[in-house]
Amino acid sequence: MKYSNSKVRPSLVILVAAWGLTACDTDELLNVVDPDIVTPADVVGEKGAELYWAGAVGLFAGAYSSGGGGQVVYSGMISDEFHLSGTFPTRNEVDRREMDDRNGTLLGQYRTYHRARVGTRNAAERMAEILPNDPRIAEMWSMNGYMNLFFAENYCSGVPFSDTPNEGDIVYGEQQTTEQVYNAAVASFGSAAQAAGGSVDQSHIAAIGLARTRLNMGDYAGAASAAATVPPDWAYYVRSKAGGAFGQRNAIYELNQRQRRWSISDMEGENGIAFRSNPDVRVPWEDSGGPGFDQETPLFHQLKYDSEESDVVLASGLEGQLIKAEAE
Amino acid sequence: MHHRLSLVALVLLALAAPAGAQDRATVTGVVTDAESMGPLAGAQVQIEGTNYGQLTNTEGRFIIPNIPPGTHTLRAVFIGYGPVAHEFTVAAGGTEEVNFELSASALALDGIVVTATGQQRKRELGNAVGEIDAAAIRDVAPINNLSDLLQGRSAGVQILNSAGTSGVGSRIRIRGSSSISLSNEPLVYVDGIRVDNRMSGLGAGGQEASRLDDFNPEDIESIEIVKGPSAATLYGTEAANGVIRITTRRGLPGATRWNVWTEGGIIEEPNTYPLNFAGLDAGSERYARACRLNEVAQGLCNQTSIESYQVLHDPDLTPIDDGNRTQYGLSVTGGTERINYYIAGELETEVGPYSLPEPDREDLEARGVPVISEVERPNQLRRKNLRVNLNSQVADRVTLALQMSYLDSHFAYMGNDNNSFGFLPSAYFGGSNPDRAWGFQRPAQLFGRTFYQDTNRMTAGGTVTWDPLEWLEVRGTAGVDYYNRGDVSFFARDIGVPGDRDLGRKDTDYINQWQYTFDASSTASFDLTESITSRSTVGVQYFENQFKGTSAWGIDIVNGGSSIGLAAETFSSEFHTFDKTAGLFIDQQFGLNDRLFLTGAIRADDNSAFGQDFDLIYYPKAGLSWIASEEEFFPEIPMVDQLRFRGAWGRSGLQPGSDDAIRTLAATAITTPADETGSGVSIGSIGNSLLEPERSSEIELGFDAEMAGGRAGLEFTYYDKRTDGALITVPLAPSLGASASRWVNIGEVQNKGYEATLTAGLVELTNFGWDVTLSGSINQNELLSLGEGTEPIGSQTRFVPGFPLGGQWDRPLQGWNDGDGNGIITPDELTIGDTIEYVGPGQPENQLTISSSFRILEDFNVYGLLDYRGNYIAYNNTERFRCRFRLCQALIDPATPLDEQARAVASLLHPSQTVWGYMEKGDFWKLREVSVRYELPEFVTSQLGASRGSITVSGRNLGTWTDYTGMDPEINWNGSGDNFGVSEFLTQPPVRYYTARINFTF
Repeated sequence: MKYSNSKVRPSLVILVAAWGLTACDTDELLNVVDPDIVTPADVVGEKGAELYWAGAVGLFAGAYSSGGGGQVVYSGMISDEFHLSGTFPTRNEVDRREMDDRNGTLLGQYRTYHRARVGTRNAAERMAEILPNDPRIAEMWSMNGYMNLFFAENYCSGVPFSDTPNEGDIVYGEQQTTEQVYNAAVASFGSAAQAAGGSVDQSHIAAIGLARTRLNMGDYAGAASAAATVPPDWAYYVRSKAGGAFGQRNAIYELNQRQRRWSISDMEGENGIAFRSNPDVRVPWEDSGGPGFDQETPLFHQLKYDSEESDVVLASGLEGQLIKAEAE
Repeated sequence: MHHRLSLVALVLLALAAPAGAQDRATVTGVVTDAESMGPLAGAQVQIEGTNYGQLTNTEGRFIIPNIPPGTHTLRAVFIGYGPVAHEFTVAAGGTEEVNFELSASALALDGIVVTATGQQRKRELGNAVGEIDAAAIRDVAPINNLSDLLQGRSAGVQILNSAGTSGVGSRIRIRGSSSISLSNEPLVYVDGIRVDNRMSGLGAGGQEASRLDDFNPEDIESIEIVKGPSAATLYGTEAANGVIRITTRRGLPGATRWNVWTEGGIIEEPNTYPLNFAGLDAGSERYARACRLNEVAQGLCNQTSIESYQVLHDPDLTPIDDGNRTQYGLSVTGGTERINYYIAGELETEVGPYSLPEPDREDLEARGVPVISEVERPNQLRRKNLRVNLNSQVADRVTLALQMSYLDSHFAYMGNDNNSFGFLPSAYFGGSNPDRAWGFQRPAQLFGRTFYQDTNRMTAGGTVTWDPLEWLEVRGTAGVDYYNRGDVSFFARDIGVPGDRDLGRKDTDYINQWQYTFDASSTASFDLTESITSRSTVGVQYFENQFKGTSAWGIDIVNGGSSIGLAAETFSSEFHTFDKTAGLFIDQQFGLNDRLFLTGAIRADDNSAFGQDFDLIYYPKAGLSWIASEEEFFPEIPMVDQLRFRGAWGRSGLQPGSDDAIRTLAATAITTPADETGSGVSIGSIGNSLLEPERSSEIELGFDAEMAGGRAGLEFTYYDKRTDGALITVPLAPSLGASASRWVNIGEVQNKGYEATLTAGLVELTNFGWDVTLSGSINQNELLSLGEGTEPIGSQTRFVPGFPLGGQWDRPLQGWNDGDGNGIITPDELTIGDTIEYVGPGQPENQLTISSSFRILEDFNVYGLLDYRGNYIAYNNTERFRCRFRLCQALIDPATPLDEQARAVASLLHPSQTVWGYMEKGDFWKLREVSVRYELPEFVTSQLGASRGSITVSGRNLGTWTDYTGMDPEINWNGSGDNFGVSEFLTQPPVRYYTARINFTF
């Protein structure tokens, strides 16, 4: 024998449950607040603009010469100024100039450069909107100009310039010819000069950047003209700082002295420049007396930067003088 | 906007229930084993079609009071036995005695399984449920942790071991991997409370503990494995990888019964490690120690001798030393029919097979570094477990089950894997003679850096069951799983590590984790007609996860200090993860003549991690079960006693990460051009407001057959699981200047395969019995689509449409030709393909487990478990990297076979650097467990006042048979960090256990 009850049927269960669907608002129930994240809505106003500026400074430092890579160390590796004494295969490919298109190290560098390009431009626009007379707008445009310049110097024609604006969704851009990238650099340095106002330093950064770009474009007169405005003893540094996983550590010191993965080369491939055997007093070196991280490659220390906190020059009057000399 | 869900539906439903009748009766009796006539404790006795039931006590007795008078059918079921039903009649106020004799059965279709809708008979389910009788396995097999209890016990369930280090956890895959970017780990419930089962460690490579192993296998009664979405639908979002339901032991009414056990044993390191080679040229200063074959071939040097050495095999210097394992446990159970209890505690210690060599001890002492226990023996595991389970009949129709478990564990481990503080890396990259025995560092510095994890965990909750009417059951479960965990890594100042790291360093992660479960449901059971039954269930669930922690490190610590507070340079951060899920389900089942069951259900879920433009998600399911052999028209099949066909279809999901849908900014500390330190922000995650859960749908078809008078059972299942809208971290174009990827619902994945389990009692004689279980599975995994315009993802472990997820790829080493006949392969003698090609699947597709038990006389039992995994690629990255360090035999010794030379040269000296040759077939057979158990005679146990006693001698990890040339084809360097792939990289291979255990029941 089994039991049945005609008063309550299964359908009632479903009806009651269906009615219940409207009884409780789960918006509040499922609301979570994560203190670890910051959204664009949280970073507004003058303080917000300054935070974007500072963030872009960090992005540029990372792309130029900080932490585990950057423009300085990778252009140095591919031009045989450095020799690999580490073990990562993807870095080895760079050293040998036999890069696979899956090379994650180079892809990471490439992404870092674009982050700095987009970040500096976004920060410049945000600053211009909130703090229109702040000379740091010029600094952002100069850094943006340098990122464009590095793309033109280091990459073949065809680099796409896409965009992630401050507001709105991502925008995929067209591939640029090298000339277009140089022109973008010229435009950025122009914007920097315009925004510099009375700031001598900002004017000088823009001028040296423009001079270097003009020189690369073959506009020697333009290059000399721009460089002439900067006194020989002026310099602008990208700051280095110890701390964090990599932070803003001087990348050359980090990879050469600290990690022992980058060594100073000498006549690499037999026709490379004699960085050690024909020493340049501006770039002193020493034999560490032991192997690099791979336990095999002799490790030679550079002595130009003596700590993780050694700043790296981005632009200087000395460079301006060299540009002038080359242009003339 | 989130939908509105009801939390009051069940309350309303319950209020609709009228009060019970007044005139009642009682049924009582005893349940025994038909063969031995011994009592069966814990058998479930229930009046069919009602919720009136009881578990038998330690004497096999039951008493069910307050039943309606009349004629009823009383059914007794017990795991491993066939059910028996008796009809009886009882008058109002009367008591009727009904006794049962149960016979062993291989299939037990009327066994009870716990589902999302409460307890159900297995015959009613359209899907397969993997059942593990934990008590029976513990009786015969050496079980060190919960992962051991799962290993090789259920078809389609793979435990992927990470390393041999004591305390290191394992990955679990059920019916393959279906999620590309999300976790493929199943959900785990303990007594209805969802518990955390993630793996974690700190800076020691893949050496991670699994929170699953926090649960003491001694406390577990049974495990049910819900294998896929067809069965896991009602578990909702997050259940697509399957569900493991653990039921802990319960008190049994009757006299107090004490159980004590102690275990001791040794842990042996049986592995043979590769030698480090060097070619010597006595005539060349430059090549005096590094004259390799390629340089010989180029005429740069002349090998005058070869030397080889491995410090791990040097008895004077090796840190390998036998470890040990001990365990002491006590449990007590008893009580009355109205309240009973199970209380147990256990102390467990393991010391891994490594110790600080004497010269290194002297080194540390000379440096003033204290040689504490974790430096002396760097791999240790100490666990203290306590469990209290109470069952109470708090009112005539209300039962309350309370459970609480507490764990205090200390897990110390060495760095290994991708870690220059690992002792294996330093041994693998050591020199070719004792003068340069170690690579990066010596044991003094390696073991001097301690890694440990301390965990305190409490899982507590309760389940109320109320039977207001004969046809209605209301259940409510609430519980919390909480732990705090401290991960610490520390080495003292002046310990002797190279460079500025010798300033001393401490890293800590302190974490608090809460998981709350609220689950309420009600089931109404009716007879719609004489032959048609109805079972309706409605339920609501709420789940909340809170994960909070702080991370800190300090460098430059003063001598004698071991606190971050004593460091000159410090860093700290914190992290949080919150997510919440609310769901409601309705399940309706119809039965016809108790042999055809049709089930339909739907669950609606909302989750805090869904995108703001995405709303409620619905997961439907349907199932059919037909016990064909009980139909009169069904033809008799020789040897087949019972035959059931089943089929099920259902959907389930996986939620995205808690912040994946949101656009965020990355905050970093920077130093400005003015040399000032401050904060800055830049684009972080792009986010995706359309983000939905990943949805998997599965159809499974199968049959269960009981044969040879219940002595054999066969379960067969075919399944086809499709995951659509798979959540993938799609790489974003670098030129966007944004984050590297964003989460998108685009992928389609298929897992299909077969599972079969054959259980047979081959011989059953008075003095000899032989049981065997074969369980196997084949799973084929394929990425069907990555979405339009998305390029294949990954490098060596790739995601390419038309191939398995995480398949292994590289440029093929197509051949070699020692053209000059000098016995040395050089790069120009290799043939390497121009483009990358598929090597094979990254995880085993085939699995076969054979377990067998022999009973000799009445007292001896011999048990063994043999495990096979096949058709997958294991990446021997250890040997590849040893060649990168130019000390592998293949680059030095001309006696090395040419194929080994070829793969080394291809990976190191050829421009392609292809590792194709190190992606090896990983197929293996492993003898995982062997044990011999002796049941002590009564004259011995009675001397001690015990009712029963046994001695078990066991071995674990006793043998591996494989063509794989690395250390072990199962280990993985990155712990839980790798969703796919089996890749050793300086990883600890398995160690061997020999244990003896004594168990007494009083």
